[in-house]
Amino acid sequence: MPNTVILGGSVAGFSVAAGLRDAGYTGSVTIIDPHETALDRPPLSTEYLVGDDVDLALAPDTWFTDNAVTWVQDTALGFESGAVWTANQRFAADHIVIATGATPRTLDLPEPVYTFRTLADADALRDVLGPGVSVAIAGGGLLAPELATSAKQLGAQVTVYTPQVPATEIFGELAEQLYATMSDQVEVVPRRLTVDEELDRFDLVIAAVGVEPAVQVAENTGVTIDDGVVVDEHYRTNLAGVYAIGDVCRIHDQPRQDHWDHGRASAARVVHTIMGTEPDAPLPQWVWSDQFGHDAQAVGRVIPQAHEHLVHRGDNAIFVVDGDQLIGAAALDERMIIRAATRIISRGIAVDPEQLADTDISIRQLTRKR
Amino acid sequence: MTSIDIGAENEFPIEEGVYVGHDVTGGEPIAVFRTDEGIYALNDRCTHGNYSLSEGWVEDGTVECPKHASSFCLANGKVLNLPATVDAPTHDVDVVDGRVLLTPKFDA
Repeated sequence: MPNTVILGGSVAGFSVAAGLRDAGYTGSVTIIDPHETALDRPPLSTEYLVGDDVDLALAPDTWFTDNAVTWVQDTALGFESGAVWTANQRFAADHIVIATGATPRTLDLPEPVYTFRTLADADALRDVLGPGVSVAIAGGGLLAPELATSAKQLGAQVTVYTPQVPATEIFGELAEQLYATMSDQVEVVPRRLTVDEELDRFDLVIAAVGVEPAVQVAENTGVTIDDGVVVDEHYRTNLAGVYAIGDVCRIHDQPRQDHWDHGRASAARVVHTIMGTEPDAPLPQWVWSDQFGHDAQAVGRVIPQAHEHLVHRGDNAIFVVDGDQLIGAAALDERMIIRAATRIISRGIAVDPEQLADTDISIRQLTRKR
Repeated sequence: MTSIDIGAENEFPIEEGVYVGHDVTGGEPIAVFRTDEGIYALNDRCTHGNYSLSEGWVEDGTVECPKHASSFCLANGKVLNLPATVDAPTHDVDVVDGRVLLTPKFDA
């Protein structure tokens, strides 16, 4: 009977186990991960950090028994064709899925520098953030504004250092609105945080300056590594029976993608690769961020190319349209627009830019094929 | 548990959710969904986070939470995709003589 061993049990790794069982895979499925159980990370920077009661588990404990998925709380140290090992265990493996994620980059500063990725990181920050604490947060992505929101809510004095308007590649024009909101709420310094700043005024610094793929387990195994474990569009590495998904991988002709939805989507794709089944057409990539009271979401690509058009719907939603085809959408606090856009894009439904722009026309109506 | 008359059937639009507050249900708020196939009731709060399923996207016998897109089966509350991992509690609901009758099934 074939064995599948999954290295890492966050959303990507867990989704492979769940997907294999849903697909009727009868071999054994083992997840090796240093945490107690499978955890979802997006709530860490928001609800969990401010102390809300939030269930981080991706599945109840009974799920593992019911689905015959073995959770091994350990760290995989290496693998070769047919086997994976930790410090003191060895596992037979016909299929090896690398889903080890990424580790945060940090900054070399004299002040204490925190990074943010894991439950332990969130617990450490919860211990130190509070009223009267002065914190500098460095970063130009989604994480810095999310952490700034939570730190302010916890009563800390917050300064964000960002060399650019964060996340313009994700939210397009709407990123400017998010930036304006952030600038109203906390001090924003429009440059990179370096040792040249007056850091004495801060009690602590949080580096939210990107991640490095966690490729250690794949080093010296013969697997190709180049800014991540390099895979093809089926998420296969160059070694037979070895796959990589989520934040740790990079499709050979594309930049690395480190978003939750890619973890889930790449897991679904690799399940088809292992099962030898035909995948569904992929859904457009979806990203969300909760920051300073805004629910920002985007699907597909929202920066228009030369032959494409940018369409505005009210002040809070934009679309990129190529002829009568929707390429992407971004919206602030307009969730149904994203739900609708996902359907329009994945089903190839023709759209009329004038109707998209017309807030008197329900967005749902535009998802019905004409 | 006795049933509660929550309105006329035609006050429940097809493929939309209607929010029924705790003042009516006597417990958690409930979302009622009417489709061409029937009428269904789930706990209104998504099992993943604090968001209202009555505002969700109803399609093919499922409702998709507008916040993070987890879907639930209207008939049995089963969660169909991440990030939610817990099924939505269901309640009994029926149409009798053009009136919608809800029978909440809260745990004692």
